[in-house]
Amino acid sequence: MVEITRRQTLTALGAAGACAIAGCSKYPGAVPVAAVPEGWNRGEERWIATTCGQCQAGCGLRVRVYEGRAIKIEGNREHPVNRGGIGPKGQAGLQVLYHPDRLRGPLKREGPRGAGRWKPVSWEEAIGDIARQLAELRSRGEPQALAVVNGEPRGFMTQLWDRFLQVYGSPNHWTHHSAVDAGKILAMTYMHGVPELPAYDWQATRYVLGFGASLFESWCQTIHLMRASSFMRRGMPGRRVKFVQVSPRFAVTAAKADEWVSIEPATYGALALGLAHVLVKRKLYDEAFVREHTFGFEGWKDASGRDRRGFRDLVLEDYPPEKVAHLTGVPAETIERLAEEMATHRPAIAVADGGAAAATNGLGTAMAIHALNALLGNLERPGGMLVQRPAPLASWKPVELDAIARAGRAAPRVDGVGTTACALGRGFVQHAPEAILKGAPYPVKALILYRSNPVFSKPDGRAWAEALRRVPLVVSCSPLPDESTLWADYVLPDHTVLERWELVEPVPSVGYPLVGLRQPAVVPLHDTLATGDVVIRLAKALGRPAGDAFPWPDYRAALIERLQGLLKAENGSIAESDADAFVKELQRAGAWWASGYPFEKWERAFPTPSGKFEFYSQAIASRLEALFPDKGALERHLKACGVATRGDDLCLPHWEPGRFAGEPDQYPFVLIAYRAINYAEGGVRHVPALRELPVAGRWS
Amino acid sequence: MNADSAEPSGRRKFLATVAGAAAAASLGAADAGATGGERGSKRKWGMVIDLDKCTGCQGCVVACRAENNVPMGGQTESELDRAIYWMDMMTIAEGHYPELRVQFVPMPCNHCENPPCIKVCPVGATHISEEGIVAQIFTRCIGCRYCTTACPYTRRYFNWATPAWPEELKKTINPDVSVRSKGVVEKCTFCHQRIRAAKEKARAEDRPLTDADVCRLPACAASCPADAIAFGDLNDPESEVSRLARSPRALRLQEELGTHPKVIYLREAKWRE
Repeated sequence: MVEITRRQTLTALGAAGACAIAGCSKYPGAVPVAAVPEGWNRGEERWIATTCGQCQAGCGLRVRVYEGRAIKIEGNREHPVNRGGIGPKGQAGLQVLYHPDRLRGPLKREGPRGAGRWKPVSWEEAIGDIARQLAELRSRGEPQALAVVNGEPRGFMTQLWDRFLQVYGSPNHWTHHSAVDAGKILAMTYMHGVPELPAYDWQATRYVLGFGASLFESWCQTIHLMRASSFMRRGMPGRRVKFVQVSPRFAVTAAKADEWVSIEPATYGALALGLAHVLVKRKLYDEAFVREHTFGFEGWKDASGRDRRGFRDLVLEDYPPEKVAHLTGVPAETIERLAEEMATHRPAIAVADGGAAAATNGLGTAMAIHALNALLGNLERPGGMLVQRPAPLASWKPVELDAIARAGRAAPRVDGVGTTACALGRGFVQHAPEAILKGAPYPVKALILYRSNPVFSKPDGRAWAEALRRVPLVVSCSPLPDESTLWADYVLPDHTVLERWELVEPVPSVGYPLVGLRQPAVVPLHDTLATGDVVIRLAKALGRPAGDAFPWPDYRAALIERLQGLLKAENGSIAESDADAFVKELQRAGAWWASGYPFEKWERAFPTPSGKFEFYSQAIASRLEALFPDKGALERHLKACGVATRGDDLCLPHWEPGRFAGEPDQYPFVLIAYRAINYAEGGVRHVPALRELPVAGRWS
Repeated sequence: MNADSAEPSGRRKFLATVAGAAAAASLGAADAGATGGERGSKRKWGMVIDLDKCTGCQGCVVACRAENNVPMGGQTESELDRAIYWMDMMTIAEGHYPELRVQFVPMPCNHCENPPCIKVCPVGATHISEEGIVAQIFTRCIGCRYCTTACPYTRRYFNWATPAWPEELKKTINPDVSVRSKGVVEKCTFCHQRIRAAKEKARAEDRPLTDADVCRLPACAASCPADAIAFGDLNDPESEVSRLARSPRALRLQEELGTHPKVIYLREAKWRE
């Protein structure tokens, strides 16, 4: 029996003395001149190109491997995302690989839930047990009772989980989006028709206005942005891009900005609309762009002849600078000046932070900030905002669903997506514990945690712990004994980043198609298994029809199938057309990318109902109509949710005061969850080098 | 300094083991014989850090610790503010809300031309190499900490505790850098092991060492996402560091002390119309 508690191991790590080395009194910490593993010569070193996984930016790495052990991580100078740069999280990657707390192999719970007593089992036994329980659930006609909580909601593992849930028959694929950057993605979805974060052409821009965007801390493209900022400041002799940061908190990014503008929490949207007011009123906006490429700027008549409100009227009537100054705490003259600066330094970019949109008025806020980019005519143009082009990868064969799967998939999602409970959102993971505890709309009977530790990283972790305790089967794929894994019945430890195969389509940064390769730098240290392989084995163990959707021997083979598409691409960075030569070159270079971004491809940029950028989102309008067919239902719903906005404004960029828990006189302060570069969302908090790093340097 | 009573032979033996096949253990050896007849070199290594480019990410801090086998402080040492950072990110705050100014200053050893640390060392454990690297010879250090006190930049660190790694993290130890013991002072070496390797590579290829070979050579410079750190020969007027050092933004820290630092900072600028 193995006993693990996180606290024990962390204490051991913390107390330096506890890890003193026996038999090495004079020169402690003596280098492990360990036996050189097979395939390695004494003193031999190799460099392995791979892709970082400490955040979702997908920086290219070169790992120095000496006598079979990884000893240093460097940035890959060829890689377009980071050009050799690596942040503190990436640099600390080896401490993830060699973390002393890592689980040695699959475990099965012994004793009561949460007691931390485990029995090592074989992979066959663990996967067999879980498959049996899942098959039983399915045969009872309850496949929808399986949920997957996915902490890395993009890329091929997300597609693989989705495939698994499809053939199994559950709609419950929950991601962490709603707690991170959903607001920004939703603004893109509803105004651009593209459900993806934007990319930006930093190289050619002249002005950047950040709305709380933690560009140099925990933005999803932080390393790319640091290199870009370096260029914007010192890369063009005689010219400097102005960077203004608007934020309530004076953090690292605000300190590095050319100007910091202090603002009341949750009022970014009002400021953006105030800026829009000035741009429109003083005719500083790009009239030609707005005329040709946008919908809903002017008031319009719908099919039934009714007058609809335009964005122009909304900002002119509702957001004069004096009123906005009162709402935001930003002086009216500053609002006038910032608008003028943006207009006279085009192309100018307005960037929102995920956090800026993480309030009860988040969607309207993200849309309002985004609307500035349209007003300034910088969408899909050099120096502006870009729509990430997907890589031309081959697709996996579509899956066929049987009757049980179809019925299960038709069930409403437990986290409320697609129902009135989450009318416009992509997910609502915060809602999950409450839904599980209530057993509504139906009980969750099996739950799989993938790269997710909600008990630690989500609001109200105790509710998560309680909810996990209520689910009859909990499986964790964590490589570490974390707070959520403590409540699991089975732990199927994943490989860490430097041990596994993966293709990475990173968070948008360069705009043009890019696929990073992740390949093992070292032989897996423990008896772990890539979760991709676990999914495939689980599907096979479930038998038909699930197994049929996973014809590959392993996850690596599933990925290589996708690469076929790149072989045929014409402007790719790897010219080889022979599959073996292509893979070999990909292994050397660490990534494949297509050259250059094709600007002004309007049909690609705006796949909306109008084929234009939509100030007035017809997608929001039709979604609300579908969910609330009669006016009364929508009114009741908005009232119940405490939403103040009504009518056309719901589909336009708009602002209303944010709502906070607690009475304002009792709780006069608002908590702004600050994400330092060494922690971000908390996924790397167990890494000693990052725990020891001061949050924003050493203050004298 | 109890752990430091080892006889020299034992320590030397250990250091040799540490370095493995590559011989150099201390800087003395690195800069003289082991570097292939470079005695009398006219090089003067220096570094330029552009504070306008730096975003305070501390990638350099973690890269330095990883490259140079700097042990984790752990909870105890960190709380006592004794954790070791050859490269540290200093934060300087001025002004009052809302007129605030906060600057991030990456601080390696300044490798002074006239280093105060050398003058106070009673045993000759700290010295400056022919190429201008201020170095510590761990085998000579008696742990008196005069040098840590003398350094006006606080860039010298004393090993208060036994440097230790959890068993598995020992695998990350760089064989090119010696591991220090309790009771000795350690500091930034401009990653001399990388300089040595670059020299050896150039020699093997039968060509001179170029500016491009060394410009991003130290671990901090190599990892900097903002490309803010340049390294090279200050005696070569054509090198990137020399070019940058001629910038009107260039400054050295506490120059008035007469230390002549070879780390040159480029002042942060702000946008103006």
